[in-house]
Amino acid sequence: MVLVADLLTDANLTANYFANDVYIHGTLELGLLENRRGDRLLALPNTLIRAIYAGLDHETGQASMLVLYNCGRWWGKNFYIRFCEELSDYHNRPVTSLSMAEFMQALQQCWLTHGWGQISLDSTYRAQGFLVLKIRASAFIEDAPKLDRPVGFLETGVLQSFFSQLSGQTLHCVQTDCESLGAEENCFVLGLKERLVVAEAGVEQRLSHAEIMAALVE
Amino acid sequence: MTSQHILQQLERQPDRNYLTAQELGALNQYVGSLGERVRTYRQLREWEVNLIQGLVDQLPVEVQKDTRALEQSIKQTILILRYAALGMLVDDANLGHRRLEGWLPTMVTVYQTHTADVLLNRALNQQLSRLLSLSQFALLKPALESAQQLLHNTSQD
Repeated sequence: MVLVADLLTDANLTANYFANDVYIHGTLELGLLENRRGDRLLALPNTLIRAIYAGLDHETGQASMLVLYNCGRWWGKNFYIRFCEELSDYHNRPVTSLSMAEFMQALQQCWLTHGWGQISLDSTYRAQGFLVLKIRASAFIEDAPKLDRPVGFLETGVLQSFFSQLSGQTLHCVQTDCESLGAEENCFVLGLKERLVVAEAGVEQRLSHAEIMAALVE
Repeated sequence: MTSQHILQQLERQPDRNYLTAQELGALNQYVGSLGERVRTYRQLREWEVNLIQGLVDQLPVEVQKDTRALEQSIKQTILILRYAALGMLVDDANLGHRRLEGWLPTMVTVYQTHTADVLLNRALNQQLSRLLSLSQFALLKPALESAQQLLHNTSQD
């Protein structure tokens, strides 16, 4: 028999940790925006993002793509650690005890609340060893310079290191579709590096996400 | 739907003008009902554990057997009730819907709580309509139903 009182003793009832109206706080008189743990948050103006792209392009040219990708990887590494810390503190149990769906729900809500867009996981190709992540309304791609290739360098890096740590394997990430090229959403494929060579080639040849995925699982 | 707390609905821009007669009317109405809202909230707070336990005990045996789903469903039902109670208190009927919408449908799918959720929440509404006065239940109902809607927004059929 289930006793309701027992369910209410151990900890608070946990729900949607990253819900936007409780996650973001501020001590505005001190000029501080904070998350619900008191870590500092920052509102990034679009013009600053555009300025970073322009400045990098001016100083490093072609290499700016690589710089951004590496920044993304660095960001992803730290983001993963913090994300797991916050979640396990809140739920009072290790993140590994959450199901993949619960984990992804938290990631989706976190992404939304920070204003980075809508992220979702497509696990159609999971059995074949590929994870597909899709991001709509990306904040970073919207302001990126228009090139004739996908430009989600930051996200490519962040997803690669986030999911590498989550899976315990060194994964590689390739962006196969991009809002800057008129796609409805940005698609990213994650998998082992040697198996993603085909995807890199597909991007060079301007194949669509669907075509690239078909070539990958062939 | 602008269903935020009345004080948030008022635009609070004194540099523009005083509140309109209509805004003051809405505020007046809210303040007038506040005693009733606090009373209802206090009752729900006192009743919670026994009320929910009573509903759980009346569930069919096969639903009670699936402990994992049932425990999760109980937590979800309590959250719905708590958010509804607070939403009623501060006149923000969408509070629970807003806070739980990115979360509750996923949990219903992951923990397969649909059957227990439907039974518990149906019984909860019936019980509350009996325990509360007509006017109290009318205050609570919009917030309660708005949060319960999320139980039916899941991907599973």
